[in-house]
Amino acid sequence: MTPPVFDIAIRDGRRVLVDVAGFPLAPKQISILFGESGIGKSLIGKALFGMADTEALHVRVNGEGYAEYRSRPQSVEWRRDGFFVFQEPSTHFNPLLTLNEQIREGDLEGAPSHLGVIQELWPDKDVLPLSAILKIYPSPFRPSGGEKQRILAGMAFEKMDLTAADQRRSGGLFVFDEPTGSLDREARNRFLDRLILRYRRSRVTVLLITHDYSMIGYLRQRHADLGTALHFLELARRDGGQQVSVFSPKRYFAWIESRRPSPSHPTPPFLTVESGLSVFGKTYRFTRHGERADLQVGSGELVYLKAGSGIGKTTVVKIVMGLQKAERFRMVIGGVRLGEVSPLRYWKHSLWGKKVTMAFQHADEALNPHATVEDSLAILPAATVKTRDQRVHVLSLLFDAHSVSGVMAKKVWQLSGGQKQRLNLLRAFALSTPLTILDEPLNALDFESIGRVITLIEEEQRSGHGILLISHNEDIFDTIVPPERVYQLEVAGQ
Amino acid sequence: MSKKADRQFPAFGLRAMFAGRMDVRWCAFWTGGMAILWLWLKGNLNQPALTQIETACVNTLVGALGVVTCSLLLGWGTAMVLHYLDRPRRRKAYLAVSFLLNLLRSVPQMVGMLLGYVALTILIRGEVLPTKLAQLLAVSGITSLFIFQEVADLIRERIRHFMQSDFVNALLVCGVPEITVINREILRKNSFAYLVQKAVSVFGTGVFLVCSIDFIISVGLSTDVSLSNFPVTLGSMLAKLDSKQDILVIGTALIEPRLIPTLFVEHLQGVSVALIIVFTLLSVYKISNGLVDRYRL
Repeated sequence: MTPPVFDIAIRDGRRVLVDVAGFPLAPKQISILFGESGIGKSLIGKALFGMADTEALHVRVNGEGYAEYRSRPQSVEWRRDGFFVFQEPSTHFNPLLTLNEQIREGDLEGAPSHLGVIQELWPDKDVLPLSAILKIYPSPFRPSGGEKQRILAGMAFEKMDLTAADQRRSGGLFVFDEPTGSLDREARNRFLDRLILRYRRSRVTVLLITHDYSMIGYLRQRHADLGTALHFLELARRDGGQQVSVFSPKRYFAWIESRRPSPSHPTPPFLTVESGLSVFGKTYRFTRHGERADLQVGSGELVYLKAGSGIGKTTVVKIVMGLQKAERFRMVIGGVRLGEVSPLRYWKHSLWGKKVTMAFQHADEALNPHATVEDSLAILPAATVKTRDQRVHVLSLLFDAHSVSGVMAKKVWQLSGGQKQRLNLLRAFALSTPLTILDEPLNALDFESIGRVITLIEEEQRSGHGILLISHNEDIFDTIVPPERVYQLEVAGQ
Repeated sequence: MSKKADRQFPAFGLRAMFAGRMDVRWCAFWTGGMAILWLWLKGNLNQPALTQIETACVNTLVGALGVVTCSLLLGWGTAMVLHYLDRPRRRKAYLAVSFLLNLLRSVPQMVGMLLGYVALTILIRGEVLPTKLAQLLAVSGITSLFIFQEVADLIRERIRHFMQSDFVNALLVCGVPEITVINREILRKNSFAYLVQKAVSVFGTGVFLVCSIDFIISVGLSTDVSLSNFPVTLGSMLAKLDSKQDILVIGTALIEPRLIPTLFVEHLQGVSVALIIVFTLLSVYKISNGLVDRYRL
């Protein structure tokens, strides 16, 4: 049966934010929408759910005004019986009430078990932390993004349970907007298992928005029997608007199959970081094949540092970059031994941009929003971006050749999340430093860009540059990084 | 499309230029108001008096612009010095400079300006400032000494705010020098509106202080510095006997309404000087607030 489709147009003043025709949303099935960040996935989800911000936006759905769309029986039912899990959970929570008071909001007051459902999203050993978290008045930084995401997802699951218990409620739409963005693979899989379990019981309509393509592998492996109840869609930018198309899992699997770890010959380590550094009361150690080891990156080596959410991967690489002080910190970089008392000026004058650089995790925050794309490259102290032609060449590594000249003059704030991330990575690679640290390099990217970024990383490696990367995309990096170069970051005593 | 949605789309031309832009609106009011006033004075005031008002107006505005320039330069320099001294190894130097700046900050602006005028008198007597322009710029320099710390505070606050952000760290680890990050990326690209708004408010303070001090001096603070050997400004014009009489008529007109029409033709010098000062200060205030609203500063 052909699912109902929606033509959605959203404008902010004169700017067209979304213009997509024929967006399919299969009733009582699960639709998973991929696409790079900032392309309009969340806006589409909000518009369909009936909660777009009409004060700031002009929204039309299927050619009619938004008020008319919202008043249609189906739309009313979707909202009444459904739930919207925000990408940024702080948007949902009231900072003046504890989380414990809020998990019983609305219909959830009558739900049979509050804690039990939410608890399912935590590993068994974390029973105590959850009860402590629920006493908190939420703020943007407390509890962590991953914890709030799980609480909000748990609330959505409770509403699904209500639906399963009362068939009159079966008309709800459940939108999960990047529900696993702050979760490690284990927590993400736990979320997916619980979602599918509840879907089987309630058969509600689910729209899951994400840019984590590796979800496909897990769902196909663990929940293959869902078959046609699972739809993969991809939103892409086309001719000033967006185009939605069916994303074939075969494409993803074929790509993963085609990847092989890049061969490289062992070289003397350019970077060695000793286990045992300590910061914020936590002592970190690196392990390889389960054994304690020092983290080492040689020239032309691709090294992957893994850890669960919130363990402190970013903190550790910031310590390596000299941006954060740590006790018992010892490293050797380019033959120079540095430690906890080494002066920051050594990093400034001898390392940054010369021997090592780093692409930060959130491109949104790592780029100056008021700089143009060209300025973002021109400011670098690198011979590779001195002329306009050179900058065009660098951009064309990750941007379509025909779009480069248009992108050059744009301000960073005008770019989509995926474009920002590509620029963020290119800025690091343009410096051609012996060592480049990449913090979540695949964040916010669509499938095509992921392929280009991986190719670029491999080319950098082949040209003799060492790369240290941290990423949640384990399925992808476990494929391209040889096991002997995969390190696990652990907190001593946990 | 609904009427509400229609309103969300910006209009073009004049309507678009003024819509939601109180700063542009008041800029236009001020320019228009001053032009109308000048035309009225041209038709109704004698030429020598008009020339004096024109000169006073230009001198005051040039003086205030001088205050803005000096304050921005001094503020920027101070902020840079403090930023680079604010490190553990340079703690003593940082504390010493901060102490001196706080000492200067503790002097009320009016008192500081009067002390500055004493210095100015000495300079004029020593013939160090031979031209009117040099004297005017000296006034600007002295005035800015008591204002520039507002600019320095703003610049330091902007630097502090951005130094914690990822984008600054990301540029630093790319090897971009800190001075470039501060001046190009933080101040020019992310603080321009803040600096313009501060410059506008400094301009207003400059007009106010120059006029106030000139008024005080003109009524007899020094035998060596007086209207006869100092650039004429709106403040000194206001202190003239003719102007005082004109302004007194405004008060009289409140109880004798028949005198109101005479304000516009017979007492123009004092009334128009007072009007220019008040109208300029009001416009500057509105422009400054408009910038705050428009750029959500």
